[in-house]
Amino acid sequence: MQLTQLMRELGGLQVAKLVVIFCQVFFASSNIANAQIAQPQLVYAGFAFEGDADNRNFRYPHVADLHQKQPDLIRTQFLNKLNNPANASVKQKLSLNEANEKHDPIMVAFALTQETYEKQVINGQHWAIVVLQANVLAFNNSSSSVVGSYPVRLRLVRTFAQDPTQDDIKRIVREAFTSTNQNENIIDLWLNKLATVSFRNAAIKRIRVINVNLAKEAKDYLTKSKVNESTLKSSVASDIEISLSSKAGIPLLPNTVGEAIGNSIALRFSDKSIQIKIPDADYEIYFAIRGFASATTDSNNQLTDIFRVKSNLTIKIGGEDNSLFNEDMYETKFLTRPKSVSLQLDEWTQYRKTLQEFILALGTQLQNPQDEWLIEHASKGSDAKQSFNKAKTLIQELK
Amino acid sequence: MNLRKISQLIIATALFASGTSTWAERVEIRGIGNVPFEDSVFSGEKEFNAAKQKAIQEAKKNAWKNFIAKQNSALQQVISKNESSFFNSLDDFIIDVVVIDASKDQVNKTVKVIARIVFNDEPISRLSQKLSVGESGQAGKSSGSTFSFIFMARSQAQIKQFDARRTEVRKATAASTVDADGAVTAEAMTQSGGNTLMKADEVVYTATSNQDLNTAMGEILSSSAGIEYVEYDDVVSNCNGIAQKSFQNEYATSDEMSSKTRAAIISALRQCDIRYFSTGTIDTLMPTRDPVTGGLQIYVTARAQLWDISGKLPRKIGSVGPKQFSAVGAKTEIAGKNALVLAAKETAKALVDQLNSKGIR
Repeated sequence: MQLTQLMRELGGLQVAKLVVIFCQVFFASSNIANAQIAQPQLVYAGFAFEGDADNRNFRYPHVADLHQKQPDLIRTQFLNKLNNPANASVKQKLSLNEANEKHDPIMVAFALTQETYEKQVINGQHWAIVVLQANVLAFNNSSSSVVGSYPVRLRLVRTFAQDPTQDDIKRIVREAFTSTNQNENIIDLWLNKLATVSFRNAAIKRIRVINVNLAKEAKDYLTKSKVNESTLKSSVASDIEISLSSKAGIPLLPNTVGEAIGNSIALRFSDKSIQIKIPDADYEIYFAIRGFASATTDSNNQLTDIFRVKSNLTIKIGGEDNSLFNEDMYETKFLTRPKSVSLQLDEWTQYRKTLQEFILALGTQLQNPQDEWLIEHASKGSDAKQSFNKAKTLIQELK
Repeated sequence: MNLRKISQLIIATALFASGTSTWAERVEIRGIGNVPFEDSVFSGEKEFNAAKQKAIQEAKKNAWKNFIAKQNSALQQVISKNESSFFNSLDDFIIDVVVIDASKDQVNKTVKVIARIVFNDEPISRLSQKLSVGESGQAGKSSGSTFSFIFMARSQAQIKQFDARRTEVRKATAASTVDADGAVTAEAMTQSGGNTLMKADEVVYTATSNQDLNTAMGEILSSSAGIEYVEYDDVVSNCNGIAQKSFQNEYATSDEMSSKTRAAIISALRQCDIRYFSTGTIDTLMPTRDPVTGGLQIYVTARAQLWDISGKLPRKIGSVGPKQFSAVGAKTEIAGKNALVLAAKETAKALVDQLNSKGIR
């Protein structure tokens, strides 16, 4: 029915009522829009270091140094890529100017969360391994609270004839932001992740890694091996986030394992610092390392090193004692090598890798449990299937 | 305008101020609902879903109770007096219901739902205004307002800190005892003690511009709620009030104006038919570095008094603080302004709480 025809049929009084109703509906819907029910726009917030300002040089020594010496480098790299992204959907998804947006937008920051460097000597070659991790971190500007985050990780490996110098490491870190190879550039990885994910403000369920516990057996080993417990906990929490995000495809609230402030995170941009609140998680993840074990077998001309890491994963409803998921698991790694090859294997490095591989596989299994994997990794074997199926349902609800 | 009207207006101010930000605030509260459920061979998914829906309604009610408990006493009183009106509008206040878990409790024979209930505080504020002031009150649109205030913004100019003064006391005594065999044993004893005298810091303030402070308070009083207050500067020019500059030095070392100054101000206010008068200080402390953001953090201390000056003797009917607020900014000016504005707004709200607790409505 045409509006004019409707008006004629209803007459003056009814039209007045209609106008009132229209206004009520209009204003009510405006309020709802204000309350951020509508799908908000994404606005680029910038490059930021996550965490307390005082810890920046300690947590990100090489990126902080690069940022300090060439403050415009990372910003320029970002702007160039944002203006001409390899993935066209990024440009549609992400605005560079908050002022252009009519509704309260979701801000998206590149939040650097981790920088690690390790070296290994294999057959006389010096391997330098630099790992950078960052979050595609979405937050609500008006309420300064986290909407969700998807982590990305870049691992760059370079070999040297001699022990790499500080300048060598700095060069690798620089390449992580400037490389033309998309797979070796963390800005590209971040943009590619952004292109594939979505953020919702409203009725989304939230999950967060709350803590990484160490059983006495694990603690004793770490003390003996002079491994920093706090750093390990924080790093394992990041591994779990990466696994659940990349393998199960879900956003998480950022963890603050190992940090003093539990319910907010600081973001240090080049021109300002902000603190954003982390809302309460609906589901809480607790990971435990139960212990480490190793053995070496000798057969013919080969040596086989066996490394096992024992763990537990528990998922609880926030604030509730009962757990939705509570399974003991383990991962075993076999490293076979000819006796003739000179290989300096660091025991802790192998445990750490075993743990990382396990956590990465765990994300896949929580999304789609396989009997074979459960038999080999779950302490209850295939009896753990019911728990994993429950976790699978939860993962679906979190997407 | 009578006291009842003014207090209603101020209540409305606080309620309206909290609900008229550019974006309505989402408030998330967890609610748990339990409803009886007999799990038998006859109860299938349909029966479970019906029980679940009832449990969700219970969860909403419980979340609403938790929401009320988190509000300031002004809003709590309005809700308490109009419980059924608010309860009947519950679904208008709720934006989202996120069911986190719904399960059968075989032992207690119930269905339990855990849900995150998201409230939009804007319709709650609107209903509060409607019920406390009335629709015709238009959130306190006043004519012939009888309210004015003088707030002094101060910053620390000088802090004199005193060292602790320690007084040591030593007492030496000698004692001798005569043993049974006649031998004498001599003993020397030294007792020591003393006291430490601590003296409070002496702080000297300088008065700073009141412009930001007045604007922030004005935003709460006028823009948000429609209370048309009288600027003290207009009292000075129209009713022979004493200029702020002439008494701001009194605030250099004292937190209050002298009784003589106050009497002169009150006299001028009465000439201008002002009935309610608020005065106080908002002190900006020295900046410190915030270890989390690396920016500058500034604390401000606010204190305020509210007077009814209609009688022969002024009556103090409310007071606030001292309360501390802080803000962080890249520069001292930004952090200072942010903290000052925050303190001014929160002080206005706290005054409302004081009025409410005394039953002035």
